[in-house]
Amino acid sequence: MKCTKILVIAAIAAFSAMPAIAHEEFRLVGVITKLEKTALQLKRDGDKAVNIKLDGQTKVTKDKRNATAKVGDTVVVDALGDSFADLSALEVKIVDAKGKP
Amino acid sequence: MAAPSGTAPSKRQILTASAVALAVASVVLVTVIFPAEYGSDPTGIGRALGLIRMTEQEAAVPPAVASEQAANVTTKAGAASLHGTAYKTQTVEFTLGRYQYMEFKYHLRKDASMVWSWTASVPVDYDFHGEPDVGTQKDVISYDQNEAQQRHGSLVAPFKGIHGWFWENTTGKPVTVRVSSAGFYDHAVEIGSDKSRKVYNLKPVTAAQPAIQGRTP
Repeated sequence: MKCTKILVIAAIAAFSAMPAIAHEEFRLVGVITKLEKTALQLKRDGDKAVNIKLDGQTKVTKDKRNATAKVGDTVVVDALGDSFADLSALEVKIVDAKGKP
Repeated sequence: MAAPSGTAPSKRQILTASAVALAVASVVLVTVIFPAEYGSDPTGIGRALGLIRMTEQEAAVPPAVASEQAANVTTKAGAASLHGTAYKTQTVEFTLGRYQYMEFKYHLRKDASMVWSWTASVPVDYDFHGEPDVGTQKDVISYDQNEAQQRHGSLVAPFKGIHGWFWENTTGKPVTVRVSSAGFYDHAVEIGSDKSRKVYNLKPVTAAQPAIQGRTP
């Protein structure tokens, strides 16, 4: 019984590491419609809004310098995740809505 | 009041559990994660489980095209290379949305060649690179990387895999990119920044195509 418990716990520990390796990188462009400390909502070009997680590793930049984003900013978000329903932002770049960044 | 029945695990039990966890994780890493994510299958179990990473473009190729591609063998004859099938040509145009990127690549066998030209409506960031069919990110070779509005060149594939371009529109307006190519490639694949993929199954040039009249007796 003890052996079984050890094996089950070990298997859970091993499998829980797999999702961290499986993520892909996505790029989304749009306007910030909601902004909180841990997430932002992005209204994408011609598409539905998407919620993207933010964490301490997320970089927010404008013209390659650190910046602060706000609601209404047009941004380019490079995010990691398995799908659009589960994204964590790596970088949020504030860009010009119409022309060059 | 009864004494508690559980006792703290001994040092030996903790070490045993840790060793078992490490062993299970190692087995999962080698038999499942390496084949699925990196195409490396030292035990053969990944292939048996159907996990070995096929490029999606290979998986998407219909059987009739796959058998034609199998006949497209490259043989070296001194400075020349001889092929089992005729070369293919393609001209294709893409529109990149603002700040978007995409990739477009041709699948070539080792030593197969192609020539190409691409032009864009405005300068774009690009990376012309090759990615082997089986391998990891560190096996990707970047042949040419810069910002430009057009590029023209040729390639002899150093390995079997997909060889082509990453283009990034760094402006806030849509950009058009047009590629013309000819070569002994099998097929082409287009990959969007939303990870969508489209495979182009290309046909060899044939004798049925019109030709200008050359010398006659």
